[in-house]
Amino acid sequence: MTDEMPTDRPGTGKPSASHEALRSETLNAELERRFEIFEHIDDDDFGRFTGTDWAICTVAFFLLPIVIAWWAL
Amino acid sequence: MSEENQPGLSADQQAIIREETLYGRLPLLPEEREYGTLGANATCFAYAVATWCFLEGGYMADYLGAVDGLICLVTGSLIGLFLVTMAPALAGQRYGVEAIDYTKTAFGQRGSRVLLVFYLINQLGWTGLILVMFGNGVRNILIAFGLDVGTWVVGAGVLVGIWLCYFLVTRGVHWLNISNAYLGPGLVILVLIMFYLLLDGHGWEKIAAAEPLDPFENRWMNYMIGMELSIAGGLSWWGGIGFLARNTRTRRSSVYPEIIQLGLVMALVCSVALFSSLVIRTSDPTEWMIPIGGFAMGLAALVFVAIANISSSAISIFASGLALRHLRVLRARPWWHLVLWSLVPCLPFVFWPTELYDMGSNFLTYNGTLFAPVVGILFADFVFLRRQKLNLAAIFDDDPSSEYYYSRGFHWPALICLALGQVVYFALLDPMTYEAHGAFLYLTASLPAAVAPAIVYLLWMKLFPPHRVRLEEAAPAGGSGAPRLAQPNI
Repeated sequence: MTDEMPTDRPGTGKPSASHEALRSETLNAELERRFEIFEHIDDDDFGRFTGTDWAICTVAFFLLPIVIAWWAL
Repeated sequence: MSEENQPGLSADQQAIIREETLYGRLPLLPEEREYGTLGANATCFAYAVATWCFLEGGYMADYLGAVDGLICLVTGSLIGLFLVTMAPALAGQRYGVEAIDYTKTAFGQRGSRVLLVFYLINQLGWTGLILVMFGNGVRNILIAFGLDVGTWVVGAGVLVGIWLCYFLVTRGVHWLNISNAYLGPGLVILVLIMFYLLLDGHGWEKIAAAEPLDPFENRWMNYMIGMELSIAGGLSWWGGIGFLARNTRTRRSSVYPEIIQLGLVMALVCSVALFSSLVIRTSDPTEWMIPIGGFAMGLAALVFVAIANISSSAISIFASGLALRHLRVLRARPWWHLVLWSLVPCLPFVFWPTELYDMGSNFLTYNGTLFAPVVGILFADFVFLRRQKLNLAAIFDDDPSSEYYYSRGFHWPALICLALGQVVYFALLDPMTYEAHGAFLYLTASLPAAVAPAIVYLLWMKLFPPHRVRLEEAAPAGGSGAPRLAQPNI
């Protein structure tokens, strides 16, 4: 495996001051770009998790298991 | 990936962004995420059916029989997964951030390092236990071939396992993906065959009638210890939840697969180990495989599980190495340095494998001590206080004016409530000795340790909201303009 495959292993590049500066500058700019994108994505694009979903999860995965556990005891 | 289409970036810059997207902390954009509903279910299933199931099922056999154990495994795991999933999954999915970054919203930029320590304890503890299971497997394989080997082989096996993990993890995620592609389905087949052989050879009546291996006198106490182990087992998924949710495309696929696969399916797999342990009368999974499967099948299962143990350990070490990149001093170090630092805490398992392995159930319970208050506080903070809205830019900003910087990087109310939750836990149950307060028999320890700090934190935040939260509440939504980083921490 060589450095021609940088995505296979994280952080395989040789650390140096110039590389660190480039990394920092690139990532800061990329972060700003992503903040912009996230700001403009409609909330529904991430899928909906409605009150019904909350009710199903709370009842089926929390309240009901507690009731069953007590009943079995 | 979207960054591949960015104009004006050099090849080096593209590579930096790609690496930080795959292995680092950049918030994942929707188009970069891997898991739809099917993918999320398949990935969670592969995580759920792993060798730690054999350990957890074995611990349960010490205290409970088949029916009680099965009920506790299923109900406790679901409760634990519900608590640990809802807030981190919905936050991680919406904002594409990984688990430790998300905790900065409640605990502060520096305060989140406490949770990084918890996370590493969790990952490395499990890794050590699984490596001892690997060592035990090697020893039992040698014994099966008639070699009279001492217990030193177990420690030597752990050392070999550490080396194999280092080899695998430093070679990259590609090798891990290849091994997991075969080991996951293989483990499912193995569990099904073992379950069939168990039922065929011993029958359900014998399994159901088998007494627990090392119970307390009080059945109620055993039952609640079983519940506690299962809830803590669910809570110990905390680090993995963030990773999985961040990679999902929809909110529902970040929640339902995690709870159902990691909670329900894992509990069912654990129950096969529980039944086997009860019938063969040993909680060590490497000791019941040959008696149940016969020499050839049992030996093949031992070899397969030994290989799977290395794969599971390598995944934990990989995750730990990535987590260490949150520390500024290690951020720019070569990958093999981080892997080495992740493996060093596993060395005690080379020298005291049996002693530490025997404390496995205590370690599992200890996960409840660590994570119950964390999930309670995060739930209260994300769901009730912030109404599921985060300031994404502030997560990556170390400037003192940043919303999540709080007091010199620490959000003391959350940290004090975290300590309060641990005090509540210890007051109800000592995870090392299992000495319990009377209330433990009604409440468990994890649930009060999650609920009490959550309520105190919520009241504290309502009465004395942080300065930035007060400003946000007073300002109209969306009026702040584009976010800008003053002191980026990436």
